[in-house]
Amino acid sequence: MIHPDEVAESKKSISKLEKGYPKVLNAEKQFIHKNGSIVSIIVNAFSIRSTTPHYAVVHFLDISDRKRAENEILLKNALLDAQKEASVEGILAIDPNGKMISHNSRFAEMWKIPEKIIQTDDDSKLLHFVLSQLKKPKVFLDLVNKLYRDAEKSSQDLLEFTDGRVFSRYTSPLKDANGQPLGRIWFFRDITHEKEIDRAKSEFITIASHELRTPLSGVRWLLEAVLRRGHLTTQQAEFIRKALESNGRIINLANDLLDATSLEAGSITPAPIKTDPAKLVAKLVEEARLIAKARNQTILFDSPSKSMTVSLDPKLVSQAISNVLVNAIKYSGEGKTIAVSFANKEGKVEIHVKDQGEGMDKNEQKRIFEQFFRGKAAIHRSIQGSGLGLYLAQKFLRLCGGSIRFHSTPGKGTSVTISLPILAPMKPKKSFSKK
Amino acid sequence: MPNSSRILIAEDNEFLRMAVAGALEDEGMEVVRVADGAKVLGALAKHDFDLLLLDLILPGKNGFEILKEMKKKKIKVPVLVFTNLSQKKDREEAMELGAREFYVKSNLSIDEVVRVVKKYAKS
Repeated sequence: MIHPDEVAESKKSISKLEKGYPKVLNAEKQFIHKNGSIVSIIVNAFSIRSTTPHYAVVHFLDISDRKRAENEILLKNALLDAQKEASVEGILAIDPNGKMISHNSRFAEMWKIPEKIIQTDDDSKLLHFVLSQLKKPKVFLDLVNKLYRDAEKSSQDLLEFTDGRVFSRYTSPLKDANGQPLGRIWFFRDITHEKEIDRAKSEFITIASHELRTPLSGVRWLLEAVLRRGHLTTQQAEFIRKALESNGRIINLANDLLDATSLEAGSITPAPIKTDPAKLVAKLVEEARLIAKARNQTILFDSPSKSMTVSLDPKLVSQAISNVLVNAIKYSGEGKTIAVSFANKEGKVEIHVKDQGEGMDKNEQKRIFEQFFRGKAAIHRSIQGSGLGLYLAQKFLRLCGGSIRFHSTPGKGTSVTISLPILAPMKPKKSFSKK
Repeated sequence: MPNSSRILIAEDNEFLRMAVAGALEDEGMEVVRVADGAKVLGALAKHDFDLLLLDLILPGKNGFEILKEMKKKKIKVPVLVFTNLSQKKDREEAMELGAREFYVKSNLSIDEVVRVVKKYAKS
């Protein structure tokens, strides 16, 4: 039945039909289906006057499905517009010829584009306005032109403005449902504040490095200079050595804290070079033996029979392995043995460090790589340390594409496995250095 | 056997300056000490030095500026940077400006400082 809102209009149309008007109606009308739903119908009604009696022809075309589809599209478009406007990013869509199709208000706001330039619909004016704000307009334009020549490419870069702002810019191709190119979409995000925070962090690290380490280095070198000169009593020399030990611990703590801060700030980037890990570990084992000697500990090193090449940052990996070795020494008792060995496993080189220390229970093992975590043994036995050694080791190794695993059995000892991806095996050679 | 090298130390921290100069003089080296970066180039112009031990954070003129000017003026004295700045960018910049080596002071003992100075002063 006809919708109540349409009744009056429909009566007029029927009256016209009865009077023989030629073309009475061609309009969309709403009807109510017997199931209660509203149905959209195109009604086309005309009268045939050449006959007696008059005839009227009324044609009904159910466009409900089309209407439903149209309403869905309108809703989707409304949702997309709302999402576009709610975005914190500036969004710009450009057709394949570089002409602006659409943008959100955040885009105009970020680029401070006056309304008159938007309304002129003149893309060259818009481009000129944008370029005038940038530190490197030529670089910007070169990339834009390059991307318009390569319709499939996505890209991300940073834009620096003459007023100090920094935007992150991302672009990807715009395609229809059939994969046909419609142009390109650009996303802009203002990252000025994040960049300022990064700069402040980096500055803090620079200042803290210098201000913490300088007096500590001064104390260390002066004490060492006094020891070098000699002419001290045994007790005086002993006091100076103790003072140096204490100073050394603070230096190590300062270094660990600064490394942790640098990692958090993202300012440590690995510089990988092709390295034979066996040679690297051999050197670290020799250094560790100097510390272990004072505790009558033995460090066994089973070097691999074949040399390997690994792409790694020797400084970061050495620091990681050194932290593991120092832990093994600290947490093993006097006279104990620490074993260092290699294994080649599924394209990775593994370095195992196994000690005979008192081990650690499962609950503590879960936390072993947390910042500042120190187990019960460390606290009860007053073992010096920052709780950052294994945290830093894991971070450094991950930066180099490696990993670290920790397994411990209370009362029996701990095994730490460092894993690094191998580049390519070289020729086998004789093994070296066994103790 | 005493080492007859002449070394210029540019370091604003008194303890560090004293410790290094003392250790090098004990080895028979002649040491000139400068605490102000603005005086380094003047000192280099006055005497022939075998080596410059350069801190990067200095009053007057910092170590990077000194390296830039040495490069510009083609001053050939080899430079070993001794600093407590440890970020990669600091090392890269110093090496690019012509430093021979870059050492983080807190990672070295005085014996190691003497050893590297002897090595580079000889060469």
